[in-house]
Amino acid sequence: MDNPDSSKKLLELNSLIEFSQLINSNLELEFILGNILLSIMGRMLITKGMVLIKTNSDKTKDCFKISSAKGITGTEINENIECAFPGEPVFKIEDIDEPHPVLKKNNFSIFFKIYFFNKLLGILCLGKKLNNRYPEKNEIIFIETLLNISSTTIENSLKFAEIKNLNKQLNEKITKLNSLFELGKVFSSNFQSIEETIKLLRYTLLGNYGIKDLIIFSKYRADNFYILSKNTSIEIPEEYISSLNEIRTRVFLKPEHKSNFLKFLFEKDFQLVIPVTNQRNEITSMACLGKKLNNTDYSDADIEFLESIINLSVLSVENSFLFKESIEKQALENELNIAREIQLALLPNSIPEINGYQVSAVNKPAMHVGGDYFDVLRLTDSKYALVIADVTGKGTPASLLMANVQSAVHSFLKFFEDEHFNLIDVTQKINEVIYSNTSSEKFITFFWGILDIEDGSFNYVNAGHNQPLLFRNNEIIYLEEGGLMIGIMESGFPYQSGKVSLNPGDVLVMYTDGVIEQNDTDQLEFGEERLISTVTNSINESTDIILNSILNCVENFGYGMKQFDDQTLIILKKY
Amino acid sequence: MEDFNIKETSNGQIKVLHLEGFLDAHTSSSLESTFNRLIDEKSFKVVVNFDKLSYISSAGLGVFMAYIEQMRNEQGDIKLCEMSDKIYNVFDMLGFPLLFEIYKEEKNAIEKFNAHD
Repeated sequence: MDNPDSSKKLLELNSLIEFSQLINSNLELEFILGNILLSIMGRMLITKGMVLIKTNSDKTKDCFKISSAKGITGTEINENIECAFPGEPVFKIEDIDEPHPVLKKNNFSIFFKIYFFNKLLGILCLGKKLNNRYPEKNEIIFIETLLNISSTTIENSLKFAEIKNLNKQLNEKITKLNSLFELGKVFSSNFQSIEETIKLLRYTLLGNYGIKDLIIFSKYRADNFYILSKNTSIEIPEEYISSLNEIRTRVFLKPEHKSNFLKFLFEKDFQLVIPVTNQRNEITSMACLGKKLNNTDYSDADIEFLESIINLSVLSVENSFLFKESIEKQALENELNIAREIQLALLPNSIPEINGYQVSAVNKPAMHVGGDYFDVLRLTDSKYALVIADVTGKGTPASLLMANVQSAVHSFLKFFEDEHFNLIDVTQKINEVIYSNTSSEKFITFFWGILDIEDGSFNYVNAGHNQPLLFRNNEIIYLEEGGLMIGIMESGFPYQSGKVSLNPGDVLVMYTDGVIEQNDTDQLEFGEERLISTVTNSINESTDIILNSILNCVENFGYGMKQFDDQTLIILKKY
Repeated sequence: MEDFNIKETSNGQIKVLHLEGFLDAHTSSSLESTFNRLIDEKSFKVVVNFDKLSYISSAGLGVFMAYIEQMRNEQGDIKLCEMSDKIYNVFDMLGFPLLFEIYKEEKNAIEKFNAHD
C-alpha cells in the first residue's frame, strides 16, 4: 500500500464502485448528473462541467437541454440550446464547426458523448484541467468508464422523468374530469340555487387555473344580454352589452379588436370570451374570463375543459330558472287545488230524499276550479228547490262568483216562507246581488225551480240557462220561461216564471253546457240530440241509471279528448 | 446514509466552515448550497476546517473545484485546513495541493487571508 501508484488505482476503483452504487440508488436526473460532474471534476481537478441532454432527434441540428452545470455562472439550468457536434465519441472544442456561445463563454474544451447502446443521450462538457492541459489518456478512459456505468441510469431516469411527466398530465386530466364530474353531480340536483351554481363555477375556475375574473352575460328569457354575474368592480357601459350579439364563436382578446367592447375587456385584463349555446344552437350566455394566475395563455386543453364547465354551469343556471318557474307554477296549482276543494264543499254532499220522486245529480269538474253549481234543497215537508247554474269563464274568478251565487241562494232560501215566497222576485234579488259583485262581462246562466210534491207542480225561472228537458211519453217539453242571465243588468227587465205539472213517469233533465259541448276527436260536439236519445233509451230506468248512461255516452263520445268544461246534471223522475 | 454537518463561524470577514462526518454524493449538495449562500452574501473568503470530517468522496472533492474559480474571481479564496492524514492523502493523490492552499491549523489559514489585506 505504500506504493503511491497502487493506492491511486485502489482509490480509483473505490470511487468507481461507490459511484455506481450511488447513482443506481436514485432516479433523479439532477442528482445523477450532478454526481457525474462533481466526481469527475474532483478527480481531474477541473473547475467547470456541464451535461447536455438531448431533447429531440431533428435531422439537421440536435437540440439539447442544459440539465446540470457546476462551477459556471450566468448559465440557466434547463436552457435549451441547438448545436451540431462532430461524430466522434470524444472531441475537443476546435472539432466543433460552430460551437454554441455557452460552450465558448465557459471555456469548455473537451466533450464526451453519453451513449445508451447506440442512442445518444447527451454530451458531457468539461473545462480544461488546472494545469491547462487536456486529460491524460488513462483519465479519458476513466471518464468513459464512468459514463458507461451511468448511461443506463441516465436512460432510466429520463424515462422515469417522462413517465412522471405523463403521470402528472394524467393526474391533471383526472383532476379536471373529477371537477367536471363533481360539478355535473351538483348541478344536476335541482335544488341548486343560481348563486350557488355560479359560486361553484368561480371556485372551480380559481382552483384549476387561478382565474379570478369572471363575467357572465345571459339572454335567458330576455331579448338582450344582461349581466348575470360579475365579480369585478369594473363598470360595463350599457351600450357595450348589445354588441355581444355579434359574437358567434369564442374570442381570444387582442388589442386590435374593432369592437369597442372587446377592446375594453382586453384593457381590463380579460383574455377569453366563450359563448354558450343551448340545444337549439342559440347563444344564450356569454362568459368572459380573466387571466390565469400563472399568466400563461389558455391552451386548447384548457379551453376544452373551460367550455365544458361553463356550459355545464350555464345550463344548470337555466335549469334553476326553469325549476323556479315550475315551482311557482306548482304553488299556483296548489292554490287552485285548495280553491277547488273549497268549491266542492259548496256543492251538496248528499241529496235529500223526495217522497214519490227519484233525484240523482252529479258534478264532474274539469281541471281545477270551475263555475258550475247545483243544489237540491228541502224547504218544507212538501217543497223542494232544485238549482243549476254555470258561471262564464273559468278559474278562480268563476269559482268566486259561483261561491257568491251559492251563498245568495242559500241565504234567500233560509228565510223561505211559503206564503211570501215569490220566485221571480227572489231571482231578481239574486241578480242584484251578483250584479253588484261582478263586472258586467261576468254572468251566470241560472235555472231554478220549486217542486211541490203535494200537487206535483214545478214552478221555475230560467235565467239564460240551457233549457232543461222534461221527457213525457214521447214528447219533450223545454223549460224556457225566465229571462236574461243573471249579473248582466241590474234591473229594467222583468223575469218570468214557468210552471209545469209533473206526471208519473215524467223525467226532468237539467244540465250545464259542459255536457253537450264535449268534443270528440273530430271536434264534433256531443250536442242536445245525443243527450235526448240517450235519455230516451233509458227513460224507463232509475235516475241513477239514466245519469250514468248520459255520463258514459259523453265519455265514450269524447274518448281521447280532454274534458274541457265542468259537467253537471240533475235528473228528477216522478214515480 | 451517513451524517454530514456544517458548522459555520466567522472571523472578521472570513467565514470558517467546520465539516463533520461524511462528505459524499448524498451530502455534497448541502455543501453546494452553503457555498451558494456565501456567494449571495458576498462572503468570498472561506476557510474549510476538515478536523471532524471522516470521509470524502470524489463528488465531495468536486464541490471545491466547482467553487474555487468563482471565489478567486471575486478576490476571495477557499483555503483548506486541519485535515487528517487519511483525508490529506486523498487530496494529495489527486493533486489538490497544486490548486488549493492547505494548512495544518485553522489560524494559519486565517492569518494568510489577513496578511493579504
